[in-house]
Amino acid sequence: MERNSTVKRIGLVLTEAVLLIIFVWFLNRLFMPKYVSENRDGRISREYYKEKLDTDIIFVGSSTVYSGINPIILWEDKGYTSYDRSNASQTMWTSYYMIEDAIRYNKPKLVALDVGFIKYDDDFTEEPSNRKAIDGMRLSSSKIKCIEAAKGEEERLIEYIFPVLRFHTRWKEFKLEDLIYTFKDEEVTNNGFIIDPKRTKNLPPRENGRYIHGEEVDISPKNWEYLMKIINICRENDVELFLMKVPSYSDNWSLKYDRLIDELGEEYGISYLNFDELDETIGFDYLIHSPDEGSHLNTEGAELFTYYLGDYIEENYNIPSHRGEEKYEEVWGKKSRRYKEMLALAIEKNLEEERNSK
Amino acid sequence: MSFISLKFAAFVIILLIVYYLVPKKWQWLLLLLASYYFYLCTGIKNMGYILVTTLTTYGAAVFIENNARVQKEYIKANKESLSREEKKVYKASMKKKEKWMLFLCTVINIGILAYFKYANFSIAYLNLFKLHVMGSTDFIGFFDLILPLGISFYTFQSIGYLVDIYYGKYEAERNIFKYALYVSYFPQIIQGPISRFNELASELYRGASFDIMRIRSGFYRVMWGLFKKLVIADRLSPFVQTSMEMREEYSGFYLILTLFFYSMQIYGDFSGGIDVALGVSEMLGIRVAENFERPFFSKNIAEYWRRWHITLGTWFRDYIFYPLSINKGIINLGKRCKGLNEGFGKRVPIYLPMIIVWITTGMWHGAESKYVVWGLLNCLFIIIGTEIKPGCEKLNEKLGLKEASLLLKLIRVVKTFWLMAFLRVFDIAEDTKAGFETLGLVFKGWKNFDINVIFNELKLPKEEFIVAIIALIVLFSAELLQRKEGLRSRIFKLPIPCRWLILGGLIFIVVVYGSYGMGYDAKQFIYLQF
Repeated sequence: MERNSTVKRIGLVLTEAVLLIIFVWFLNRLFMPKYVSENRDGRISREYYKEKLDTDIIFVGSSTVYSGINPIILWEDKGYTSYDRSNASQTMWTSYYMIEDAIRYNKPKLVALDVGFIKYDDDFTEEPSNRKAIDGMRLSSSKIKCIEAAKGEEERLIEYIFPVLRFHTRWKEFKLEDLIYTFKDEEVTNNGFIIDPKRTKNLPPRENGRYIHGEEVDISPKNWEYLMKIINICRENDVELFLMKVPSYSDNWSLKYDRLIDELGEEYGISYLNFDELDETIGFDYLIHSPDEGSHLNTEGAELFTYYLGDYIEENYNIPSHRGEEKYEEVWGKKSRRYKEMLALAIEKNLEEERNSK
Repeated sequence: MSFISLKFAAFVIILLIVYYLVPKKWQWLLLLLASYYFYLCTGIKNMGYILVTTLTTYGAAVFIENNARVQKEYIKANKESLSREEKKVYKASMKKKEKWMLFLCTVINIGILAYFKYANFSIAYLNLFKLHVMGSTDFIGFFDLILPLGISFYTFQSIGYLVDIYYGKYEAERNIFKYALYVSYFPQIIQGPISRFNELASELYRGASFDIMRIRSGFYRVMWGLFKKLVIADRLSPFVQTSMEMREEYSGFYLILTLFFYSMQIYGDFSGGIDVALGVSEMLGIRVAENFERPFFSKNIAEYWRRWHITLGTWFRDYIFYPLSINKGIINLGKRCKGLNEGFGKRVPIYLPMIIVWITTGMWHGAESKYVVWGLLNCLFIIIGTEIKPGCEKLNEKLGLKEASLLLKLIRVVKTFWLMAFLRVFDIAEDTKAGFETLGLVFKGWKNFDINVIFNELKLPKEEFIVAIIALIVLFSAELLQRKEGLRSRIFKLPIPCRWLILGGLIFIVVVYGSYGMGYDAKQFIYLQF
């Protein structure tokens, strides 16, 4: 009798514990921003874990990567499998932990790192960017270390582990989307690539030449530290590393950065290429190929750049083409079709917006 | 370490796990270590003061008890040989020693408390005296003082213990570590309750077995406390602060709302904190004295003060009011006054100690003259209430209102609530003058009320306002339900799914609608400053 009652009690407590865990999970999912209709880059980290087949290349960096490198084009052109593990204002330290996480989850053959963000200071931190990059990461030691490295003074680790503690005030701005996407997990990026077919109206004048900064700039210690960590983790895991600067019309750069990274690359046998220098070779016209005065590439610009980048990778790295492999053809064929549908919708939406703005 | 922090939550969870893993006989020692760790988190400097209080009151209590024992034994041993007069002289000399020890220890501990609370207050008045009476501008500089956490609470608790030992109410604690736990027990050190040794000690030292029902019940109470603090008090705080700052511009009904919301804020803040303290204690299997009994349902101010911060009220009653009311000097004064007027003379031994108690209560709340005025006004209303009671009863009889009638009770409850709400203006006004001016402003500018001002100017946006009102309705309903039976015992009688729904709902409300995290100025508990 007594034993029955003890068993019953334990059963009740366990049920309560399970219910509590489900409830906390539900609260976290409900209150997290969904990043579906806007700020879609917030979905990139989360959607990465949907990749069940080998992802041979990961492109890591900031917004220039997810707007400028299109994995679907790379598949169609070369048969390469890739993913843009990038986010707006993604720092070198966040990139490092993205790579660490990727190596653990689905070891790539090549990491192509955009170094554009190396110009920022050690104390650079933006909560929305941190959130978008980190919230989608699966709970792991990489995630915890990433939070510690990236968070600002007011941000707290526990609020990343339980996002509801940070986003609980969103009840004031709740949309139907929040409820739907609490349970639904639809992909909104194309292997991290964000479609943006808009074209810019004008470009800012370049009054001080190609780049505004000269020799006065430097790479900060934390950026160096994490760049070295990236080099080391790739070497330790036999992953090739390619350092690059994704093309941008922006003049917020210095040739000194190029020189310093070049020197480092030479020391460790790593290639570095600033694609800004190949604007004309690739054939960029930023009035056509950028949505925002040259800061980023639009979908047309990304297509152009991805073809060029694919050729470069083919020439310099030994990445296998999965073209003709049944399971890859099936999965990536689906991705291609989905991309084309999304692109058509985005172009239509863009045209409508332009018509409305007139 | 604030009660409203994840650090505290982690601290309690770890403590609970270890607490129920160690043998019962060592649980009290673990509590002592936890309490000292908790206190250490407030700053190492503060440790010195609590140690002084612990050591002095412990030593004094042991001295007093030993002295009393020696006296008893001596009298017993020399029962035959000593004359009655000799015994009396001996007893008096021994009692004198005890009295001196009590006096000395009280002076040391009240001295520390007074130094922190009233040094700058005294300097301010000395400077005013110098300026206005002596015409000197050679002012004394202020001290840079930060009140050690919980000093008022643990000082009062320790002195209460010492006085009880002096009067032989119970035996002194001989184990200094056990006594140290009584002084520093962490859930109540921040803002009370002020427990009595004979009630708390056995709870602290006996140890407890793991009981999931008790843990669950304590958790409910913690969540309820967090609801009061985070959903109500901290939500209303920006409005109260802003509307007080802009009171010249937004007077009349805005100020009525401010006084109402401040009453709710301070109740949510203080009783919420107490709920967290008592809930954590309950999870540890330790019963601590209640500090609130639905005070807003009181029918007069005296009753209100028997239901608000109960342990402080009883402390003042037992250790100041009662000793004063039987003080020979005061009784003699009353007798002399009887010569002038019989009624007045009868009242002196009651009202004079009452006035002293209320001045002390005011001073306890803060080292500012506004708190003294606040205390005296409370006292005045209690005296008026007592004096007009027979007249009111006659009037009610004439009006046909029965004492037990709901209408009369309601009128009294509403009257008491608003009297207290108006008196609290001295809490939030800068000084006494500003307090009275604010009361004056309540009666001005009633025509200009626009609810959008609350939403847009006074930092209580529409959605927040709605949440606050709903939360207050929930609070009021819960308190109403508690009249006959405790809320938790009612909940535990419900079927399991209903209990889960209630607990889930409570967690949801606290987590979602609580005012915390980035973008909020995390409020410390108001009573921490006392």
